[in-house]
Amino acid sequence: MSDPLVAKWLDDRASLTDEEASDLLRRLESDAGLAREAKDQLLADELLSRRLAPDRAHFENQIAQRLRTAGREGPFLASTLQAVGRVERRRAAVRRWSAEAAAALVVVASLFFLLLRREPTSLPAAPKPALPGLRAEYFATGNLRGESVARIDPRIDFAWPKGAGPLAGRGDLYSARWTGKIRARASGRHTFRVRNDDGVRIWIGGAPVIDDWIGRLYVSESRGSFDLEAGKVYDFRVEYFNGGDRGVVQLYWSAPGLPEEIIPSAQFSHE
Amino acid sequence: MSDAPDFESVLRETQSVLRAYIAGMGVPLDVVDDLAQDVYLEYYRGRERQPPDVEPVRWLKGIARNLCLNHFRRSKRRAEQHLEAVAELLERVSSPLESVPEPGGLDRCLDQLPGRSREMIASRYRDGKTSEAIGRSLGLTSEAVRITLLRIRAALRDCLERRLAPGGPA
Repeated sequence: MSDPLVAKWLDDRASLTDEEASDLLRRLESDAGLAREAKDQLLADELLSRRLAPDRAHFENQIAQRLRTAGREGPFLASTLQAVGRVERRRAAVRRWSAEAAAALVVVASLFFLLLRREPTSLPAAPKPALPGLRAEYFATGNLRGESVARIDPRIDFAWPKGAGPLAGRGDLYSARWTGKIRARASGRHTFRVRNDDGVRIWIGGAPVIDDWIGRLYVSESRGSFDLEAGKVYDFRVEYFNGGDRGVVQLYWSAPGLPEEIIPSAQFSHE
Repeated sequence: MSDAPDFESVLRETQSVLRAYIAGMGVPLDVVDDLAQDVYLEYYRGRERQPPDVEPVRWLKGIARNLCLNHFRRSKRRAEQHLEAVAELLERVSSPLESVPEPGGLDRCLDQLPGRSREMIASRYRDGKTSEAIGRSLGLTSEAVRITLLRIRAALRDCLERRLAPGGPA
């Protein structure tokens, strides 16, 4: 089989135009042999991906993680949950180390600034030190307008119950903007996944990666991809709103060789 | 005491078939596992609703079918409406590859591919490269890469079918 339209569809579903998708449907409806070929191709595609893609090797752990997040693990997969716990403890150790290293960096950078201030020179101003986490602004409106409350958030991993949003006593209508930098841990195509209720949008280096700015009654999932280089730092911005009831915004990433995880605070920085 | 299999057994025994089922409806590969996870979470939460005479895999496929169609409906792109119809059509098409128990069975078929084809498959699936990136490294257009991948997958399908046939090579 060498059908260019089927090849294009298999390569990137989102690349099909309305007309191409309509044409694909018409042809599959009228040609049972082509439909069978297409199904075989999809299944071979999936088998190859499952066999070779490193980020698809943690399926059971990811289910256990999601059940744990939802507080519903019950008697489920005791051995898997223990394994997840071990991974989490290792990550926590790394996070503690990262936070301490960042604090030490801040002290050194502060001393450096004091020295510079004591002896005025014509040297160009040193860059502001990068601090871990993202700068957050919370608004008591659904459109990022009005007075805001600022704080630093180490990561974007929130599930606010109804009546207990981020702005105490201000109700369940709110919006937030997180800004700062993100440092990649791996090179290649990164998949960003957000569990969100209600809307969310994300930019990296000024380019939109996710745009799901709609109200809803349930927790949805939005995703987008972006090519990053390991060690490189990119401008990062996330906007979110909740129109009522509970609010959820949890940001994950994954990449070749990097199993999916909530983006850890060590990868975020702000000035 | 219930005779129903525990959740861990169901997950272990059905995940391969279920992930293939979802992919077979044309759901993008980068969404398949998340959707499959949603299916298992839904199943876990509502196990008491499953009729005792219905096999877990059939129940799981029922949940998966609804979530897959919702996936296409949620999109604002008009093209996705056609792809939802494509998904419904493909769901009714059967393929011998649905019954490949584990992707590890692919290894011997992959070993039989020419070096250049293996290289292309590794770039695509192991390294996650786009057709454009593969084309740049091999001096091909992205269209040529897509068609070549199509032919390689067809060859792997033939190889797997031979191995799955009764009396076929192990």
